[in-house]
Amino acid sequence: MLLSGEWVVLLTQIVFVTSTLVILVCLLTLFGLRLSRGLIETRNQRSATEIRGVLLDHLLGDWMEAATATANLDRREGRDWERAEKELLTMVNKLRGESRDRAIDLLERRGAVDRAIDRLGSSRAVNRCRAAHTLGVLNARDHAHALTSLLHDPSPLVRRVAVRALGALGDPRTAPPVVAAGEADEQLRSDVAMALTRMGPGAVPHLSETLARTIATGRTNDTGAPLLAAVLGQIGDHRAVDVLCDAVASPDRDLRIAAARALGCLEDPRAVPVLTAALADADADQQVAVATALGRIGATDAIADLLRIVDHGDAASARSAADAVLRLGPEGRIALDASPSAHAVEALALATLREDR
Amino acid sequence: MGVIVVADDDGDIRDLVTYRLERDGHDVVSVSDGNAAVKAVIEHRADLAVLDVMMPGLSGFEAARAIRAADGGPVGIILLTARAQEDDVELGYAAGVDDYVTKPFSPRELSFRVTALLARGQ
Repeated sequence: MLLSGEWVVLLTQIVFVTSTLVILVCLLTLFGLRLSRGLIETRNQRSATEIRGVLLDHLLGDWMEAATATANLDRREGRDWERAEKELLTMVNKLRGESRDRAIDLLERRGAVDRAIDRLGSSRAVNRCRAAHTLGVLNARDHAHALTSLLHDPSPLVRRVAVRALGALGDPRTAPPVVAAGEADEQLRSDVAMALTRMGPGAVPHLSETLARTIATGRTNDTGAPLLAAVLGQIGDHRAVDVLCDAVASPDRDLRIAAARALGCLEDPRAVPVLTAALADADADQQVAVATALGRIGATDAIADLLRIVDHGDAASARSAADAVLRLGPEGRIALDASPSAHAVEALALATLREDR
Repeated sequence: MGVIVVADDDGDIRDLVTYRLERDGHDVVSVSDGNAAVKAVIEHRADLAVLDVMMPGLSGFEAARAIRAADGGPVGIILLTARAQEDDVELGYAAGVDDYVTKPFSPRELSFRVTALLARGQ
């Protein structure tokens, strides 16, 4: 029979041995997990480096290296190919010319477009984003309608990627749904502006009509009209002059400023009378935009009006007006010389410094 | 053939440029920020630097200015950048840049420009 004190000692020993064993097992498990994770990471890293080398050979190697790399990539299936495809898709956007063509050829041949179309219907937003991005990168113009349907996606991120992808396609026929997406969602507007700019002159008729309609209805602020004006300026198509001149007279301050800047980009002399009249507006930001536009257009007829701003406008307006007058050639320089304004003196001095350098 | 420093915070761009320039027979030192670019140009007595504009630390413009200010040999500088508006180009030339290549870029075109610039420097 064991005495009660001996029971206590025995129990303590059992507890000690058991807990030591448990701790040892835990430590061994942790060590094993860490080791296997390290091994997996090393393997992944080695695989990534190997794939990277093959991709670089494919994109940039001579014909022999490229052919070997293509054969290597063609043999890859499943996750192995998915990894290569993902890397290739990130690289494509950074390249131009022959290397880009090689990447796109391979991606198309390996069915990247079809897989993207399948993924557009995925329940996961991340898959829909990847699909839209792929269609944009591969310039899959035949599938533009599939991308426009994503403009109504419940996920704002998917809508954004779809707008960017449509911009990458640059198909002006998709301008109406893209404009509508921008009208409906303020957060999308800067992406919409970029996408529309990439669509180029083909989008101008629709953009001009939309801008004219919003000016007529007076709903300029909540529909992103200033952004439309800016896009028209960026595209630089002279068919937009009339609607931009109307916009300069709009009651919406942001639209007036954006339209003046856009007219400056177009450098079309037909805008001079409207812009000269707009100089009378007391808003300093508008005066800056209008003066700069007149300078870019080369509006020598506006020298007297610009000088009034140089002499009496606030600092920012006066400086912009002086710069604008300076751009108008010898006539402008003579006019500035005669001005008593410090801003005229400053503009002339800076111009002399630039010329000396 | 020369020693070329390639500075870009984008690993893909660094790999693409390095691969292409090594293929052309150059020795390439690749770094990921502006400060390291200036240091590498001085340390390796580089003949040419290919710099991104938007980098951590010094920007491409600042790095170009620092390279020009350093008392080393003649170094050609090419900016590899998505920012190619007139103002940016003017800023680049004012900082002492010799040439511009815009992103997305053609590795072949970059190669021609590097060759031309190195030939001019010799």
